[in-house]
Amino acid sequence: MTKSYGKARGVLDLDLEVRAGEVFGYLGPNGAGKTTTIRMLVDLIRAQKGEVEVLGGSPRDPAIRRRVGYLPGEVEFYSRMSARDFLTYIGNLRGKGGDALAEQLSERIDLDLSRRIGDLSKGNRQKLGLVQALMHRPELVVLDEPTSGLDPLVQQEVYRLLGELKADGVTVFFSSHVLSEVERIANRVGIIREGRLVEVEELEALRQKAVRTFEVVFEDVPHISEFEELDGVRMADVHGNILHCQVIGSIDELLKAVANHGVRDLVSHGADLEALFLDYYRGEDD
Amino acid sequence: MLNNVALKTLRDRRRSLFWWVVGIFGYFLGIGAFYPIVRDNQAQFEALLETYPDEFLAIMGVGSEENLFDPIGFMQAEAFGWVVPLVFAIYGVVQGARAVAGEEEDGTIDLVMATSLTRFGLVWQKWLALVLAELALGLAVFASLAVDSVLFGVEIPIGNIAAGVLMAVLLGVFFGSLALAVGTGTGLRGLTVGVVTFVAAVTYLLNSLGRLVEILDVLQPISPFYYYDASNPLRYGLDAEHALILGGLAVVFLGIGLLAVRRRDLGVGGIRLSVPTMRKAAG
Repeated sequence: MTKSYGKARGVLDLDLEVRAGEVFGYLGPNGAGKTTTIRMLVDLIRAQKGEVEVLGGSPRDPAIRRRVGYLPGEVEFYSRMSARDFLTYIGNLRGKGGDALAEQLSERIDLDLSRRIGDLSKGNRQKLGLVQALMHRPELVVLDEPTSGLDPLVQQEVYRLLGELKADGVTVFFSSHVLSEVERIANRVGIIREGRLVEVEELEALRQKAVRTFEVVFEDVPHISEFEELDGVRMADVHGNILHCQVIGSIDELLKAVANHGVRDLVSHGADLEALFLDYYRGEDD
Repeated sequence: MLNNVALKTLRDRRRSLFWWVVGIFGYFLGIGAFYPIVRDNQAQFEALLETYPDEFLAIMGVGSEENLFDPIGFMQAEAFGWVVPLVFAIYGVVQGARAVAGEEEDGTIDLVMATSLTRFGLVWQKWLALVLAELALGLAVFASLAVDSVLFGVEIPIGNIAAGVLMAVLLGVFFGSLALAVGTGTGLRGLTVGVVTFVAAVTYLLNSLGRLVEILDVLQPISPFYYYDASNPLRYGLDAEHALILGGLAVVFLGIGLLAVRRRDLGVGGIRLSVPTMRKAAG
């Protein structure tokens, strides 16, 4: 689908499928088109070209939207209402209460529903946003930057909730510009940059593409030619008895080559997805 | 009160509506208390009125042939000629503009419309809330005139009060519906208030000047204020045709609002033409 706001806004020829039951992380820098995509999923805005299908139907269908839970990026409430009244109202609009689950969830994440929304902190308002998105046991949960601006404790709370949804088989589509949280909860990742989807991949496969750095201290002095020709190894460099190199993908060959020598120490810096994502963010040109 | 959008909207407005009602009561009690003085000193007041230019009286909604010293003429001059239509119209403009555009600008539209509420349902229930709120203002006028009648002898036949109040409600609903249509079409509350207030001011003047300047009286029928009281409902009762014109146009505006919201992007800071404009929600 395409949704253009002129200039570098919106999304272009976006083709993306999220499978039932998976947790899909939608990753991209600010302004890449994440919110645009998400607001199309709940029919707040509409594609100029192409179609959005949600749970086998159109998000224009109220019956479909009833089965979706949505948390906007910058969630806004009626500040004069109490949190409980707000949840009642939203439940009534859905025609599918959820009061009991709302109370239960709120208690668990320590949200006081009797307070006026205007008096709630940013973190508590975000919690309220989550409760309203989950209280009706949706089959699909769409969250726009669910942890942005939250303190670490509340973030953990959100991760825990998402983890539970995942365990319950609920499909989750969430956006983020923070790699670590996507890494933590997603099965699959889509990376969007300037309105275009540049990569959709299982997290595992993505890790395979990521660069690991190695530092090996040998008992003896090896020759560089033993390593620089190996599959996936690059930037190999030997200084005395120390080897520095990077590996993309499997480290099997490198380890076998290293094992030909006595090894005093080996330090590996794990798959650096951050560097990989930065490459995507910057674009392929540079 | 949280069952649907209409009731929720009224609930949100309950405080401000209360103060509007208090204001109406205060005003009507004030001028009601003034009525016995005017009635008992008719000669002096007539002499005073002689000194007023017709133009001034026309702006106040008083025709030159009107008897200002019976209860009906007095209330027409002091309230129904200008305060009442302006209050009902202004209330309508403010509520109509807030209805959808306000929720879009506040960002609350996102959670509301992500439920199974339809866009059609949103607009029509907002309109219903507007009509009910205007009716509440109408009831306040009705009740305060009843009090005036008991306390100060401002006696107006109940049917005529009902007719005058109904026309005021219809006028308010007319401007409220116009604001609802403009606000729903554009998503911009400020612009809507500005445009519709301008329309109200111009048509108000047009109607008032039409009473004075013969050349302008052909233009009076394009003013909603003309239909509001050209037939002098307070004195002669309801003019069904004029009531139907105001009410019918209000329904037409509702229809425009319903159509306008069907294909629009919601909460994106204004109507989206091919020209790129600012957008806060892009992520």
